[in-house]
Amino acid sequence: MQLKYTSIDDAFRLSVREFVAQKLPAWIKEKVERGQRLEKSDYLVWFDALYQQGWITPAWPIEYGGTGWSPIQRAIFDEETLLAGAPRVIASGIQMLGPVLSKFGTKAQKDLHLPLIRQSKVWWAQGFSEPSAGSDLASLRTSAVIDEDGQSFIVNGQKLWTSYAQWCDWMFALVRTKADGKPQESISFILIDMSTPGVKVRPIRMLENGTDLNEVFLDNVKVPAINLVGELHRGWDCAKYLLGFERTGIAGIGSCKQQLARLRKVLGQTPSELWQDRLTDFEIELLALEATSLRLLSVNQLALFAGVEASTLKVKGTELRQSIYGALLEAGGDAALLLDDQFARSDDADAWLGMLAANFLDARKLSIYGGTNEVQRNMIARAALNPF
Amino acid sequence: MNFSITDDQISLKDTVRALVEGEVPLRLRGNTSNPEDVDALWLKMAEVGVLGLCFSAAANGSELTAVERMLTAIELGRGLVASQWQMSSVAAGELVKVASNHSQAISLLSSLSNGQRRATVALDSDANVTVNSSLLNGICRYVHAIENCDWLFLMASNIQPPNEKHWVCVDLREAGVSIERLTLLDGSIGAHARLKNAPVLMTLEGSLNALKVRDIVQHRLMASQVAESLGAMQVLLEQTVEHLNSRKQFGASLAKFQVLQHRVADLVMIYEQLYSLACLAAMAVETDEAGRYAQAAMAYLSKHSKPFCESVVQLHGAMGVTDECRIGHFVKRIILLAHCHGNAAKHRNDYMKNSQ
Repeated sequence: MQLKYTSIDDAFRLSVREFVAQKLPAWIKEKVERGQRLEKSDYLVWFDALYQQGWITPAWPIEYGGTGWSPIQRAIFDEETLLAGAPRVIASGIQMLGPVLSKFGTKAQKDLHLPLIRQSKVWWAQGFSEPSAGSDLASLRTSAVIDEDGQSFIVNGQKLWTSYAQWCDWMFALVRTKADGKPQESISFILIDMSTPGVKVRPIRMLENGTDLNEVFLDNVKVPAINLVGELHRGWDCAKYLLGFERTGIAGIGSCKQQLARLRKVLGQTPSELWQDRLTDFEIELLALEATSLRLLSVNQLALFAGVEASTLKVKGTELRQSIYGALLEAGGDAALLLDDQFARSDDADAWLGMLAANFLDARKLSIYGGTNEVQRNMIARAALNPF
Repeated sequence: MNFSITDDQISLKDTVRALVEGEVPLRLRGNTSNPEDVDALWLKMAEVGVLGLCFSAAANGSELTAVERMLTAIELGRGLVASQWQMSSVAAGELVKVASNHSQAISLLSSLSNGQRRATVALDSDANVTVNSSLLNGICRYVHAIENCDWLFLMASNIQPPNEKHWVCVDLREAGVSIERLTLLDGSIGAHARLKNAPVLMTLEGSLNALKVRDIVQHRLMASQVAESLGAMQVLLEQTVEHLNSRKQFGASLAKFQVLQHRVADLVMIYEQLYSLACLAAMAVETDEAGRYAQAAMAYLSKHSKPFCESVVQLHGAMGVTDECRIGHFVKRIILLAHCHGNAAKHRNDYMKNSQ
């Protein structure tokens, strides 16, 4: 065991910090720190800065544009960028599809899509959830039938809760290619150009007034057979691989630190004793979460129950963030009673508090996406109750 | 930052587990042991090097680190046999290492590591004990694990100006020492030790300020006690899993009920998070961050141990509230460990001070 980061990791942290200080525009930083909604153009500015630096796709294999960073360095990168007020890299193409295509894609698929994802020229939506398939993803119904000419799939169905689909050009989707059978043998992973006739996106207005989640209707959408990723009926393998990447960083350490810093700012220089106690409680919970996250990157770390790690991080990380957002709501005073940033003057003393309620409401989804926290608890219990 | 365990550390863990499993079967853990058995176990702990784990080779120690001490504490915690070890090997041992000069350290630690002498420490004694002409007067309240002890280490204030504080050692069999026995929550024996012109056996002559010494020792003890509580939690988890899998109600094993599964998941998560903090506290022992991490781990234990223990008892149903069921004995030890240095709010406050 070794408490300190290596000198290489310390130097890496400094280089990330320096990069963000130089390249993150002040207006984006301000939006992030105020919890305001970002436009696609904001994300594009930041993603381009990361691309120019060669840091846009750290988790990808090096030959396709990955950085070769260690898991610890990736954790440092997330923490430093988020703490400095940078936006999260929300793009599903970067976070999810890139690793899947790198592993399962054909050469033509890789050559066509990976560079465009890295350059943020094509944005991808994740077409997984459906009206009757949320946590129980395997029950999805969207069908893809091979056309008479054998060259295309005809896709029919509906995807739901599709993040940022309103900004996306393409969608990777799980579709049923066999009517029955185990999910491992009846679901395929395909790539859909969203400009194809029959694709319709409808934004869903959420509790906090945001519209970043969507319904995507697929009505006789013709998808070339060459857009199948991996083997026919074996899309579940891709999905499982992808979900492993989705869970990476799911503890949200950087976001927790970002919001805790925001809470300190809201409370001011001298928080009351009660607030100080709560702040310290959050800090200790965060320390435990961060240590657990780093511990799981180490080999031979004597886990009591194998396989509970990712679920533990998901549950504890999201619940901690929700608690901090709840505390922000309490600390924000009258400004936290507004649903949106409605201040006409940006120099209004409360202008930076205008999004607290919206952020609190938005945070409810943390314990729902990526496998609800109830499903995560099921998984932890299954690992614990069948230990032998 | 690395949490990996070496093969040697795994081997040590296995050795201590074998000792505990061999000497104290689960069905007896928590029972009052007869003095012969206690002495026999103590000597076996000396034989495998557990008593002088972190002492120098010159004092018959193994020269290992606080990480090995953490792993050992977990295993002793599984056997509910760590109480005296914590106070003698960890608290007194670390006190001697930090507060005495070289020759004192060799002499005292050798006796502790080979099992000839056992000791305990009164960490908060300075306000109540004075020393004058090598005679002590006052009271040390709620001293832990005093039974079978030869020595008591305490901090005394010199009655003469400038009223300096010193760490001293008292022979508990000397005239002038009277012991008012107290059976603590976990069945271990504590005491109020009353001193009336009790002679000082030795004044520790290290160069560090006595209060600073107290903080260092307390932080090391806390790190080790959090680890011990993890061992007890391991047994509670194992027992709970076994109970839920074997007990049937409404035609199905209890493990099939989701509401109970989720309780188990919450227990596992508390354990995992506390284990991470215990690792940090152990790794930090020789660094400037020792206090901060020890307080964090203790604050987490103080906050979450009661819900953890209450849930374990609840999951066992009526059997969980009987003395016969072993889990209650582990619960009592965890509760004692979680509160023997103060409550969660105090630890959070101390954590904050150590973070500044």
